[in-house]
Amino acid sequence: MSTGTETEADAAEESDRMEEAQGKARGLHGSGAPNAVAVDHGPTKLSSVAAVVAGFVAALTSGPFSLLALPLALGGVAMIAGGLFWRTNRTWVTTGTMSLYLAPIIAGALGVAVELLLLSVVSTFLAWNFGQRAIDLGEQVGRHSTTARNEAINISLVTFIGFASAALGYGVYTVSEGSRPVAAVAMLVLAALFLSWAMRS
Amino acid sequence: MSVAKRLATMNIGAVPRRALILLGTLAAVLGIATAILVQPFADILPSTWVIVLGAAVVAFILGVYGMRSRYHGGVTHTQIRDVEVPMATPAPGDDIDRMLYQLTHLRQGTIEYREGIQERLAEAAIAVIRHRENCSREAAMKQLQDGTWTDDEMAASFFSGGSGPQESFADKILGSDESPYEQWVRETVNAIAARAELDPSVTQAAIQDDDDEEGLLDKLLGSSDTVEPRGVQETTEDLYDEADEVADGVFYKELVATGTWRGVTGFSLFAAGVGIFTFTPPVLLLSVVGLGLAAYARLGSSPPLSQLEVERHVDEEMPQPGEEIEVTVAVSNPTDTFMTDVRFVDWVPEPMRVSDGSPRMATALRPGAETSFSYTLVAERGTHEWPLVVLGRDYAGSYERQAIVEVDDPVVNCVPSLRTTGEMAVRSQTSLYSGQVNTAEGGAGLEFFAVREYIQGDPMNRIDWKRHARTGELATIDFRQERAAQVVLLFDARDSAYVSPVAGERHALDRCVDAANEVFAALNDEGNLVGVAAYDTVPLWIGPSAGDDHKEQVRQAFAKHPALSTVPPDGVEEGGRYVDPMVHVRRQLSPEAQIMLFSPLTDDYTAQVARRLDSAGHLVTILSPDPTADRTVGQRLARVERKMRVASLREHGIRVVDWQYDEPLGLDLERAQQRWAV
Repeated sequence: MSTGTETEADAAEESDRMEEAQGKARGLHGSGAPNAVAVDHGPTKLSSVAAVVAGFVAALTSGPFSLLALPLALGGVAMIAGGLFWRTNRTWVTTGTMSLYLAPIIAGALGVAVELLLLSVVSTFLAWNFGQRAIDLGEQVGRHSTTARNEAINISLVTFIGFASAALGYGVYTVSEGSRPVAAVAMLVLAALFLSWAMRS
Repeated sequence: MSVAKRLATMNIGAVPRRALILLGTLAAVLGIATAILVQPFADILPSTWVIVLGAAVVAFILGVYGMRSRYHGGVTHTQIRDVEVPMATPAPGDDIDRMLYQLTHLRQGTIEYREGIQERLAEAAIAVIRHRENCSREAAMKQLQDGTWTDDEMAASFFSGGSGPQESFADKILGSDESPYEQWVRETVNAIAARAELDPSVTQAAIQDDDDEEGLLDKLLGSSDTVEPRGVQETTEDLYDEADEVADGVFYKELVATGTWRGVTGFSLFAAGVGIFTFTPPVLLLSVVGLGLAAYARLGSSPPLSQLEVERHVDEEMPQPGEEIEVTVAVSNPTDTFMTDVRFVDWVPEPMRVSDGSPRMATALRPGAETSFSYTLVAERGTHEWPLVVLGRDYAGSYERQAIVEVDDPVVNCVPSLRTTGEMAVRSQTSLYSGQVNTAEGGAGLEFFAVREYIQGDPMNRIDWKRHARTGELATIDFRQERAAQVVLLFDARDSAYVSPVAGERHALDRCVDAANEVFAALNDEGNLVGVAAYDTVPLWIGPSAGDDHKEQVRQAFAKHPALSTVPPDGVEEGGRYVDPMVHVRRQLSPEAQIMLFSPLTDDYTAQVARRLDSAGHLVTILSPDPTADRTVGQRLARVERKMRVASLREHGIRVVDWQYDEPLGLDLERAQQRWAV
């Protein structure tokens, strides 16, 4: 009995092997050689995750302080996440960023601590940039390729620049704290704007 | 363009830099002065807040404008084709679909396209009717005009001057993707296909299957924004468009401003506007972050990509077609610049596909650093050399440079070996050389053929001595003569042969060459004289011959000759004088040569060629890989047209092997040989 089933299994195996060989031979002469790899142009993983994390930080540091800011913040994060994980869409990421950006401005107008606001705004920009980078890399290089090092470098560079400019502004702000009129700060901001425009790469 | 827009989009090319610096300095001085000498200023300028308010409004508007420009402007960057998949060749009939699309969706060339489509359909219908009814062309045309050729009223009205279907009420309300005209054409083609007895049930199923349109949700959400169509087709020649050679074997394309940070100033101006307007310094402060990033975006320069050192290794430089080879690309940065953002795309030759790994990589290269990536690709016949495309960005990613680095070290030389698995039937036309093809002539040989009357001078050993002993008459025995056939393998290598049922699959010419490989080996083994020719813009002619040198010459031609290249010719017809591509072949063809014609038979030209050769006394066998599909209207029409072409060729006594797409050649050959033997 047992020998019978064995031979049957052997026969089945053999026919499998023959089929496989025939398939290979057909591959050479017929329609398909080994198939091409799947090309995945979705946003790259590391930057996408970083973008959503940054978005959450931004939302948490601005949303909870105002009933008006909260939906904007959470909606913005959802928008960014949707534009990266659900379907690839740059406009969603940018729209989400705009919505997210409104949250600290509203919270600021209601008198939330400036440190938190700065953290929120920096995180918003980070989320925006990481999201852009994820989509960019996805389109040009693809999720199926090695991109982690490129993403890590970008994340650290932009994070550094973002927090450095926030720190600079914060420094000036604390030094000049007191009864400085808004006009002075406005002028300084305008000065920074014009000078930054004058700078060219 | 307004000044505001120029500022908002940060396109400062037109704004003198000095003015900006001056303005910036002025604002800084004013700001510091206001900060330090609050009281005096407030005294001198009692209406400061008006200015501030004005500034707030301006900032706010500029900010919104900047953000809006970002929203609409998007991002620009270099498009990269999907190098992993082989180039896409069209399916026969795609031209009709394109016409139909332009006609109904874009409303272009209305009259000429309508006429063109009408004519194609009519020709196909007439061919089908003539074939089915065995009637004259006139009778077929009459049937067509009377509309008696089909039961389908809608289809019948197409040729009898009807007005076509009306848009149904439901379609009007819900909107249909298919215009009434398209529906009409589809019905007609289906009717023609049904008349030609191409299984319509399969066709219908295929249509349902193929309509993988976007779902309702996609339509609502408008996924049109999701950038370029996938698999942008760019050939290697296109790659070098507008590229300048900056170093030996390195080409630069123009610097692209990506706009990754576009709108960041808008963001910060918006915050500034709100901050000033509401008199909340913390909100005003928030604009600093955006400004800092805007400054960062303008920093940096494009990395010196031309100095990258690129090396490529291949584990097998002379693979067989279909064999997998592993490619490793190593790139090092010998400069002093930290390249924070470099992306590599190994420009895999068009006919090849990547079966494992990825030919792309994004990384950062420190000075002196080296990186490498590897992937597996499936070799295809030909000699291949390919460049590495490098995309480099500055620190902030605002500018992108595309460089093409030519790597000429490993040349992959993929020459198929001539092997055979079956036999190829040779027809009775032969040359003067002895060989293995039986002829209907008597003479010296082995096999008994006939006994004939003695003619003076016949050799003594062929006299039938037994008969002489019996009757006293002299008779001569003839043996069957065996001669070698002279066969020319003729390729239809025009643009129209580069078709495949599914984009990215092997096209008809590739399959023809595969088949020719086997056929050549089979014929050669049997001692026939085999030549190779192709009609195309590049002529190919290797006269019928035998021997090892000849064999090698043919093998190399199969792999490398431009006429048989796996990549379609540029398709730019030389304007003016039309030269029949067959001229060179006909001039060199000897009258006793048989022709084995390899063609997908997608247009009438090849059928004409076959008939002309046939009437010139050559015996013609056509080996035709079937490249047709049935997913769209045009493809189905092309399938009917081809079917009818094959049928009419067979009626003329020309042998046609209709090689189905998903079947091995041997099977169809066997089938054909059985048919011929009867």
